[in-house]
Amino acid sequence: MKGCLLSLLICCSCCAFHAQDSLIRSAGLNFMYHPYDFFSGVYVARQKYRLEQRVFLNVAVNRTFFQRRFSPQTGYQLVYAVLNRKWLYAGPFVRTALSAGRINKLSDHSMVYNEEVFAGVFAGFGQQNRFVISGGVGPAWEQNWSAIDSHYQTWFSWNYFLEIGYRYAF
Amino acid sequence: MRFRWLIILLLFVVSCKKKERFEDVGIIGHAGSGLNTSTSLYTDNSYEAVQYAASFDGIDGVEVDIQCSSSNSAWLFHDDKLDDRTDGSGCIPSSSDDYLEDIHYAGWENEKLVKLVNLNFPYAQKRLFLDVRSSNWCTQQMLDQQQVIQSIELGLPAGQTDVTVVTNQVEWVHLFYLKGWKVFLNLSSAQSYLTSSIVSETVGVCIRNNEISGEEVKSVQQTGKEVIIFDVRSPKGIRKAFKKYPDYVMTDNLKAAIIEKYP
Repeated sequence: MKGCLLSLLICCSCCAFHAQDSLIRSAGLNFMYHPYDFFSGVYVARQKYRLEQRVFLNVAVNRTFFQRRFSPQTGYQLVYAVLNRKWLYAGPFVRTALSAGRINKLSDHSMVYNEEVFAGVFAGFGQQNRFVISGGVGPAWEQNWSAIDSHYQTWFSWNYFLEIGYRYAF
Repeated sequence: MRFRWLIILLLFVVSCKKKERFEDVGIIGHAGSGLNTSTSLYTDNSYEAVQYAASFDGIDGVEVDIQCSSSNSAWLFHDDKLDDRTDGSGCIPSSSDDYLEDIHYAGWENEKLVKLVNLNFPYAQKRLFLDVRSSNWCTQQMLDQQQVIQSIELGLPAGQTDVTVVTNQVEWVHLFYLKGWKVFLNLSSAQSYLTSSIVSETVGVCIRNNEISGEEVKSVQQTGKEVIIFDVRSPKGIRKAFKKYPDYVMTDNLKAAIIEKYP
């Protein structure tokens, strides 16, 4: 049993070692249209073969810059590149995002939270410098403090986004 | 070097700018949580939109559009025709309750049309503003106001005497007034409101943001009347409306309005 596990570990290590050649790390900027606001921010990504994982940090543009109320959004995206050519990179993705913002400063429960899950498609053009466009739809849950019932309430709806971005591969 | 000091001075001035608060200005959700706006989670005048708007700490009231069906019930709906935004067709005043019960909005949330009686509004905590429609677009005829009043009364909880209506029909003000309801007249200028013969029978005027100035708001308020400003969407527009110090701002962007009220 121990031998099997050891063999498996060695095998996986070898695969991981050889996979180093295909590992691409990148960082980028994005700008997103979302029904609630425009979001803009940075992300880092790790691409191995056809699979890319990305974490991002955005801010709601209108609320943060024009209303001076910091409203961050963070999330994770998993991409599978069906097309993985030299200059073209495209495929489906799933994304989960969490955003939070303070609304009524005089209230004891002033935070509003949004959790979203998206499924969509993307296309990237370029190699080291890559421009990416993507869009997705999915369910969303908003939680706010109900002034009527005095507890956090969850509101379900459907949402979508469209995004353009730039990323540089190291 | 000179410019560096200028930038520091500018930053200092900007950071020291006093944030204005508008605590005396109430916020009303327009058609629930907003009309024709992407910032609202739900379709205007739907049950969900009204409940969502009313739930916010910082929202003082919710405005809804009222139309009466041929079965004499008050329904929440904004447009003249059902065709464009629902899976139904025709007009509410020409449709029966049985037909309207099965109608859904065309959006992703697919909300049902809601009757006033089923609204479950928290009347004790928030104020409901009823924007009452006076005509049937399909027949191009005016509705019978007595019948409209009757259907609204049937839609309100028993004993609910505090009723606020908004109308653009000057001729309809008197009967609402005789019922003891608070009437806001929807007009396109403060001057036409102040010179109107029925001002004394209203509690105030409901007017678009770009149709009234701060001075005019003050002049209406000096006569003891209230002002509701609507057509308020963007943060800039909301700020502009608040700075006129009306009694209420009726907004299509609830969260942005609350943020502007308590900066």
